[in-house]
Amino acid sequence: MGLMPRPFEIFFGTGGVGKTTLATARAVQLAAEGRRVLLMTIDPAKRLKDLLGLTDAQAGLVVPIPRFGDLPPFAQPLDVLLMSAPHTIQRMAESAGVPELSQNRIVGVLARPNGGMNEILALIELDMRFQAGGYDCVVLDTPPGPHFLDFLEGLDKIRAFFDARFVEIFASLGRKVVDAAPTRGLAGRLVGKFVGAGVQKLLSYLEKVTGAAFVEDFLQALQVIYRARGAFVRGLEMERRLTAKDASHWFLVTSVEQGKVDEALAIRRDAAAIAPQGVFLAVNKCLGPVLNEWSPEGDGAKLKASWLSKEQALLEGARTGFAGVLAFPEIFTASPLDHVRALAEGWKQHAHD
Amino acid sequence: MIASPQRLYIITGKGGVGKTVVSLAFTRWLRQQGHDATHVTFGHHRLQDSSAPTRENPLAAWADVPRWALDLEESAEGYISKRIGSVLAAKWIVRTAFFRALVNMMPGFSYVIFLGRLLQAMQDQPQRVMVLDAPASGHALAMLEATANFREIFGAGAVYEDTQKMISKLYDPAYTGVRILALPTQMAMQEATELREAVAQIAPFDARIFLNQSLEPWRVALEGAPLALRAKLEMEREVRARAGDIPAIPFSAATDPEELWRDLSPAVAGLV
Repeated sequence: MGLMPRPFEIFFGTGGVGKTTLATARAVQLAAEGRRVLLMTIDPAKRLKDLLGLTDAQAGLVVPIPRFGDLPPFAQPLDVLLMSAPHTIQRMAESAGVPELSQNRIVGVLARPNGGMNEILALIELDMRFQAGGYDCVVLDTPPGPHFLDFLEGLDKIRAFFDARFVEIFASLGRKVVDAAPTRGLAGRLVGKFVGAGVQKLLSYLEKVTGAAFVEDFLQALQVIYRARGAFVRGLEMERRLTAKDASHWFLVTSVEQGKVDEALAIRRDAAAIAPQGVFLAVNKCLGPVLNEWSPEGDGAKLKASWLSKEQALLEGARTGFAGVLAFPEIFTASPLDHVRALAEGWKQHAHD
Repeated sequence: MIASPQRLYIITGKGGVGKTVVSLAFTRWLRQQGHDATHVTFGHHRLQDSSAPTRENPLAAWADVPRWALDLEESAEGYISKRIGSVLAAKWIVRTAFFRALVNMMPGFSYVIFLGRLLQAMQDQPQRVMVLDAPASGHALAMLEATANFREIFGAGAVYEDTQKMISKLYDPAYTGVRILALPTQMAMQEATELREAVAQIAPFDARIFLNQSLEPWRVALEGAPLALRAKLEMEREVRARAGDIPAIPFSAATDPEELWRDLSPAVAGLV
């Protein structure tokens, strides 16, 4: 299985393994080959941000960069988007024609950078960028999750929230609230009118512990989210697009140093369900080539054996179940520019493997 | 027994920096000092429709310390039943599709539930020290911020009062310590520093950085190694020079639990 670039290249995995650097290197390599590329990233370390010419003020905006560091300028600029939840919400509000979505207090708190909606918003942003069109390739550096598959659960979350079981609740909210211009006393009116006795009971419990003001805010938030549901649900479209034939590459990034051999191998089965065409395991920071040049004794031998056995367990264990294993060597330099350059070279080699 | 440690230690850092091993070793060390310490993890932060089995970390058994894996459903139920005074109603609420979807849509909410349950247990057992093997950086921030976020969302009422109470403990540097682990590279160190700054934005936490998997003790062993490997040592040295006096935990090449413990126990004492 070769590594011909595909419209979507998704990088996922837990943080701290060089996922962002590896994704950046992939984007740089594809752009250097003359492709029109968008790199979407969420939380690069400051020095990588500097290198990409990004400042925090540009969060949420697509920034074209003509060249990367001192590499030759790209034929077409590389677009970089530092994802920002508030900006995504803003765009959703505009596209759905529901300005209240970006003004709602509760939605605002949840959309803070650490408010916890990153995965969902990343999917939606990806969809919006895709719709805007014009890219040969979108490289997505997904938010790091405590578990490997967190990003992919974004789809399930949207589905569950707008599940048929809620349609009734939302529809009821929609009819009673949207049509009859919402004003004060909303919660009281609504609670009284709910058809579903279960919902009424739930809200009355809620009111008992939070007070009526929160219930009102809460219902308004739900109502606003429901009215803007189109903007959420279209994120689900990504699932179809991502799983279409030859549409995407999925790279599970791990590192030898991270030593999460068991976890990486355990994901194979789950990954197959999400990316039927297979997931590449990108193993970063491999020491093997250097270690093999070293024949120490005593403590040195112990150190070597410890490093080597972890690396081999990962590389060997992953031979089955993954679409391929891509090893990237550890780069012994403190400069992020050199890192990206060396890893971009690694991508080039893997393309020819 | 060492003098008054904090009650709650939040061990965080980027994925793969060794949070689990270090937090387990630290728990074991606290117990050896005579403290009633428990190792805590948060289970899956989604309410499952069916109970999916959670994978047991193969490392968890070696430390031989009490471990508590909080369950979201149990935690939510416990809190709600206390608040509304009915176990039955709490069970029903937690099982409604509506509640599930809400919690799943807002991971921050699940952190508040977990932390609420944890702090409640700590109040019930005033001697206990909890070592939380916390989620990685970005998620740790989400976790630490969540309580303040939800206090703001609730605005008033009994739940607001409860989050206020949680905050008075969680954000109290005498009560809670945040320990950020970083690998000894410039990039990792910078990320750890950024995390510490972000944490300080939330509240005046006692947040300290530790270099994990330090190669310094292996200096002699690495003397004849290829230049590239020795560069790892030099990188670590530069990190230390730049970051000042950062305590370190050595890299362990241990092949059995007791050896691992011998390697780590002197260093994890510094986490207190």
